[in-house]
Amino acid sequence: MEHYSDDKLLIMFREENSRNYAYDLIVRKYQKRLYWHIRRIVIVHEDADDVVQNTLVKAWKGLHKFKEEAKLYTWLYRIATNESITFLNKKRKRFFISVTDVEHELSESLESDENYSGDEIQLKLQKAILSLPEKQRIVFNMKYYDEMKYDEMAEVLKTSVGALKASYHHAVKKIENFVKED
Amino acid sequence: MKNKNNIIESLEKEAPFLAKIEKKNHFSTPKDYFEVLPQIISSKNLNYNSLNISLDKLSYRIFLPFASVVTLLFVVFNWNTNTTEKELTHEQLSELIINDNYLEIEDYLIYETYAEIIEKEEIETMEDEYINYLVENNIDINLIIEEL
Repeated sequence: MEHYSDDKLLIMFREENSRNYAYDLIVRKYQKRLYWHIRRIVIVHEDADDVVQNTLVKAWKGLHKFKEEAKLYTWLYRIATNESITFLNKKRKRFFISVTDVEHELSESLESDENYSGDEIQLKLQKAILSLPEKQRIVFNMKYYDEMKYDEMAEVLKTSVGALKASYHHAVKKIENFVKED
Repeated sequence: MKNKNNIIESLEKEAPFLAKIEKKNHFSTPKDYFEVLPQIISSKNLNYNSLNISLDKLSYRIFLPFASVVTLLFVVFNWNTNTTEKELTHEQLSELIINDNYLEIEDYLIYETYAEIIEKEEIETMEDEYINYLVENNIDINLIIEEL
């Protein structure tokens, strides 16, 4: 598969003849990063699959309106994050469960998930991350796992860099305390 | 890479326990998931495209003329059926009943009107009987009225 820059892919997307091909390349380029970002938020593979599909279909519908003021991948991350949060909110409403309980449920489903193979300490780390408030959890995942820069995260989450730094700092402290406990 | 090193460094100072945990993805996906996903997305987008195109075509070539014809028919139909709301006179209803053409009229209308006609006839018959009685017995009706 040829590797094109985002700019080149966007030019190809704007041409009607190469639109489908360009979008296929965009999907192949970003599907893994988007999937893992979503998976760390919704935890269960089947849910992540639904959300990533919705994300990529929405991106297809909106890509013709995409302005190159933002980077393509931060724009895709933004859709993925919003879709994941919407999914969790719907899940809460559907099962009449509170914000903290849905994280508790995800934590339990992690233990029985055949698509998860972490050892005891890894499971504890995941539970610690799931104990965080939703936004803080997303910030931690983006910094710790995706190694995103604060200005990119600010673009995705539409928050200030200062607020993100503070959020990450609090998340790290909470996780450290959780992991330290016996 | 610089960013990655910064994260580890800051974690070593801030959260030594967390820094010691190996950073590895322990989640997995079903086999060939990332091979299949682009195909699923492609088919979904193509379906969306064809639906959009057919809706566009429908709206310009079929839907708009069709909607106009339906609206026109609706207006014409309503215009014509408005006369059914008019009430019939007693004479018209009687005629319909006598000629056995009342089947097309709603039942309650017939019964109501028919009852009114019968009642009127009964009252007229009773009045005739009273007058005959007074005449036969030579009773002056003005005397009765004065006494009342």
